[in-house]
Amino acid sequence: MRRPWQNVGGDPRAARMLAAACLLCAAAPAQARPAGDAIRLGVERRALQKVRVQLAPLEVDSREPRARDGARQLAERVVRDLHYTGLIAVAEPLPDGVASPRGRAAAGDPGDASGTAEAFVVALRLEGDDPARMVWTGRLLEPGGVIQKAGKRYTVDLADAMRSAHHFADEVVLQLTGEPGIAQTRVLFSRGSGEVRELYLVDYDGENIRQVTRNASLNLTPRWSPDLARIAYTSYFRGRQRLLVLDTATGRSTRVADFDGLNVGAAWSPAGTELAVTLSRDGNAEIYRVRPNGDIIQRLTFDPSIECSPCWDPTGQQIAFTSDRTGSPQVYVMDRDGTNRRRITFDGRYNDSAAWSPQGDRIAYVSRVEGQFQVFSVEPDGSDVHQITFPQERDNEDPSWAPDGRHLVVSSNRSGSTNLWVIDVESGEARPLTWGRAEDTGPSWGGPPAATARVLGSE
Amino acid sequence: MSRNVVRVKRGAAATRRMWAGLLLAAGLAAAFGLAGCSKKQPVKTDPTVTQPAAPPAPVQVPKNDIPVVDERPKAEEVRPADLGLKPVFFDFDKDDLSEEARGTLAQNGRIMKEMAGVRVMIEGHCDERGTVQYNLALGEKRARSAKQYLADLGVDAGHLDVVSYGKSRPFAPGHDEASWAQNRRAQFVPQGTGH
Repeated sequence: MRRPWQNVGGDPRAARMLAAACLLCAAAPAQARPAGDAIRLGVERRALQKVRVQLAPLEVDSREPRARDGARQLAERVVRDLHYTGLIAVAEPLPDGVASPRGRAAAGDPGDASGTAEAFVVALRLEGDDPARMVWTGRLLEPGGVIQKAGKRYTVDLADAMRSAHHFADEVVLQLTGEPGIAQTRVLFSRGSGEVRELYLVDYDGENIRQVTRNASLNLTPRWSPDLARIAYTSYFRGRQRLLVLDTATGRSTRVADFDGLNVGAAWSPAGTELAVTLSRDGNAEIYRVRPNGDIIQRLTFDPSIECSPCWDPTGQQIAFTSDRTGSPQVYVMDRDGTNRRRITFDGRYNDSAAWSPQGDRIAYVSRVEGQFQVFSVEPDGSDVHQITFPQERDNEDPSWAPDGRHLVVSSNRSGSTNLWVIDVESGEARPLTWGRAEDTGPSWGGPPAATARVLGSE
Repeated sequence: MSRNVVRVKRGAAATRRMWAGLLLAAGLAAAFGLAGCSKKQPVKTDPTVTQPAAPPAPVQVPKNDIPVVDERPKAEEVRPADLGLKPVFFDFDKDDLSEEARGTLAQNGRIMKEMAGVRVMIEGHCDERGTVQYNLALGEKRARSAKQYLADLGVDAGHLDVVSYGKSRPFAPGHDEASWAQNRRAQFVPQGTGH
């Protein structure tokens, strides 16, 4: 995917200086901003040319009294999904009863879609009289509203229809941008505080939060396997720290590493056949490659310093990690066999939590700046450092990329409590993914469900 | 491209192959020819109209839920008394033992030797300033540094285990140096003898 700061003449450092200047001018305290609103960073970025979409008036053919509400909810979900891509603007006015998504672009914004001449048309039709078996059809039409570009039909229970809205939105995104949408993806994270933190799952839009583990202990740093069939995580079940792998079909966990000391930081290889982990079984924190059954393939680092936080590049040939061998934690990259190590972060005295983008072109990481933790990204060779979160957003940690390589989920205390936020790294816009007083940390953004990918591929 | 437009063109081509040279009024004839060839398809009088298009094939969207397995302990686990073992504290991003920490460890070591056979879990902890994974590694270093010193004092290292909680279990809840200083610690938790 294209990165705006690589393709425009403007110097990203100038944008950062501007952001700093805005911060100096801003007298209002950060807490004044209501949680839940989209936040626009004070950064001048390239005016993105968004694809314009117009929602046609909803068609409802049903004697079921809840049908019109149901159609409206489907439409709202689709509109919100399109808006969340950051690539598509849904034109006003929306049909009666369909609300604008939270924080959509204001009129006059470069991405605004006022005027519908060039807009693609999304048309939704809901029919049927049995609320448990309603049929709805979603169509994407070329501008002008005559020629059909894509169509999907779903038979749904009106009370449980939103997954189909996400599925249709992803189809629209694929047709309009050429890249798969992320509306059906989910984020794993650790929720709780003190003695008990359990793993949870949330849809990419903040809906359907549900618990994954229930063992009344600490469960940290969950990581999806690439095929979403397994979850690697660190658990303190019965007082011992262990690295476990949970089978998502059964909910059962099996042991991967149970050594004295550290059993943390599991990162799946892109093929899903092995994990990079941090163990201290040989005396101090080092990086190893292990199989999901616990067999150690190779020890990769040999230093008296801390080596931790491994993550793979999308080809599986390289591993980014953290080492404090120079006296402060910094991010390095090495080949998968531990050779060819090179340092890629040089600014600041505390850099950790590398996350390689799914496209391979950027590495997000966390850096301590003036006592706060902020998310940055950098090319895998250490060039072109780009700041993604800024001091007015307080601390931001644990970045994990969406499959689109455009969105990051981070854990941030910007609203007062530690929750998850989704950041569009191109526009700088952020939206809350979770709410509440429980601490939400360690997010892992999964790919699209495999079964859905199959459905998409078949049509 | 519209499915219907594609289908109409394909139908028209087939019609042309079948009726080549026989039909002169191509437009009207093609429309009837399509209806005749494509068994029991609804008649379309105007092939350019695509509203409504043929209904797309139904899509089943999977639920992809994960079953939750209840693994909560049946009864509250009873921890043995702390035996008077005291925590030791560390500086920011450090794992070396201060004079005071060494004094505390010497007392802890005497107690452990008297209670020979008791397993002790040494827990390493950090303050909240820092990332999850690096703090886990740092907490482990603190616990290991305490374990090594106790072993040097003659405590049986075979009875000492280490575990790091990183920043996930702070002792004091505040967000200031007074709380942070209490949270950068190694704690000693007796496990009983039969562990």
